[in-house]
Amino acid sequence: MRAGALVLVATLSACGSDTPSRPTLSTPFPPVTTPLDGLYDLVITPGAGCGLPGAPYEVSVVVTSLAGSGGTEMRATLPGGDATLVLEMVYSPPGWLQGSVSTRTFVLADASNIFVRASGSGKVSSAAGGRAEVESGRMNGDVSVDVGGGDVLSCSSLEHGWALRAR
Amino acid sequence: MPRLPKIPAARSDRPEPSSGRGHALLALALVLALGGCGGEGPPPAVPQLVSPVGGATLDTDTPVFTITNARGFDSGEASYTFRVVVASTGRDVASVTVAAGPSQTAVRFPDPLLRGATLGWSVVGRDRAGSEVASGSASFRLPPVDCRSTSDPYAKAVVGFWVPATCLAVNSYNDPEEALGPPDAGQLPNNAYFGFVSLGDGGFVDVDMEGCAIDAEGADVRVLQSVSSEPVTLYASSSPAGPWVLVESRKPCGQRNPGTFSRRCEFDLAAAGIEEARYLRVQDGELFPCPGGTDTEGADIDAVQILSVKP
Repeated sequence: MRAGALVLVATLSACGSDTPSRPTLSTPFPPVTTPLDGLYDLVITPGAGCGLPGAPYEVSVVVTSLAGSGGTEMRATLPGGDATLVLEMVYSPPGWLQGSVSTRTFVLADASNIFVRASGSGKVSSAAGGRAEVESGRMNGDVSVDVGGGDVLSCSSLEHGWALRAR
Repeated sequence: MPRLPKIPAARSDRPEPSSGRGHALLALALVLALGGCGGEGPPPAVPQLVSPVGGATLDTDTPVFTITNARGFDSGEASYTFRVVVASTGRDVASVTVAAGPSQTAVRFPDPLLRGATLGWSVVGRDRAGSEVASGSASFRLPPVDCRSTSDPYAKAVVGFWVPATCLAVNSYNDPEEALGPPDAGQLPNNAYFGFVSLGDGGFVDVDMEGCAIDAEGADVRVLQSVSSEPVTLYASSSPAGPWVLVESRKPCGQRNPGTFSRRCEFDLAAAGIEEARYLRVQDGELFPCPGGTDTEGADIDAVQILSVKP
């Protein structure tokens, strides 16, 4: 009888404590600070509601990282240093890329000719082989696609998606 | 899993009269019937937001966010991404991903969040198979923005600057301090320019206005931009280190501004759901790859002006 009462009192008093336990703070996953370098697939996914045909658009790019005015930055062009399409981005803060994706003229991405003028950001993540990539970023601006016959469809959005997938 | 209260007197390795064991079982049943301490029950189907509670006004820029884990998305099973947005517009403020804690998951963002707007927060849990489960959302506010009292509406200091190296190499106007003060850009008889900074392809300059722009009727911020009509994108923040929240994207910046060499474009903080901001990021919105054949690649920023200065 006494033991049972003790259990009941102890249990109820614990429930009535004025100092509820606080959960332990989880530590955020550390940023991936490996710079992107080498051959990647740039994937551009027009924002929801754009309805552009042939999306998402995928094109091979070559990425180099270098020291710049705001810290380490990266530049990506089409293979062979072809600057018809360029990504200019800065690692700020570390593990995070922000900057722009732009084309001078229409660029062939898979079977679609696209034209892009957008800026945005994305988190750097780890890829196979010790490399880094951007799995999913967002950008605002314009994405256009040549639908043939001299017609172009364009979409302005604050939520275009982009990715740089290591090849 | 719910944590059950410990019942030391009921341990089976301790000799005990049967009547005492019976009372212990009675106590256990009572506690279970009451639902355990603090209203704990079975894990919810989706993550439950615990704190900050909806509508809270906090006294810190780095609050702790706490959730109750969803069933099947507990410690060792899942991670949670905590996302903070401007409540009225959904504009991104910050996000962070952590491993699930036991029963509950709590995190403090590594950097301060945004003042000067009502914020919303939510979480998405992701298990090892890639399945996701999303919470509802709740709103909260941080303390007011630290605004200095001033009647001078122009930018006072540069707190950040980035122009791609390939653009810096060809541009002649690379001093970000030229974006400070009232508009003073112009052109010399030899066709050279003065009084602005060229931002290149997607570059930006971050300025401290010292005073704050408030969301008033109509436009709140004006950017004076030179040479031609390059578009400009504007972000706002309450801190020199961000987070930077998009206000408006790629606004054409070619409207003539009487009395100045530069042209103008204007921005409304309401587009971002921001009520007041002290720091502004002016980003090139032309977005043309360098080199582009000129020495003024990108938007050319002469001045940044608050149209609605907080009194």
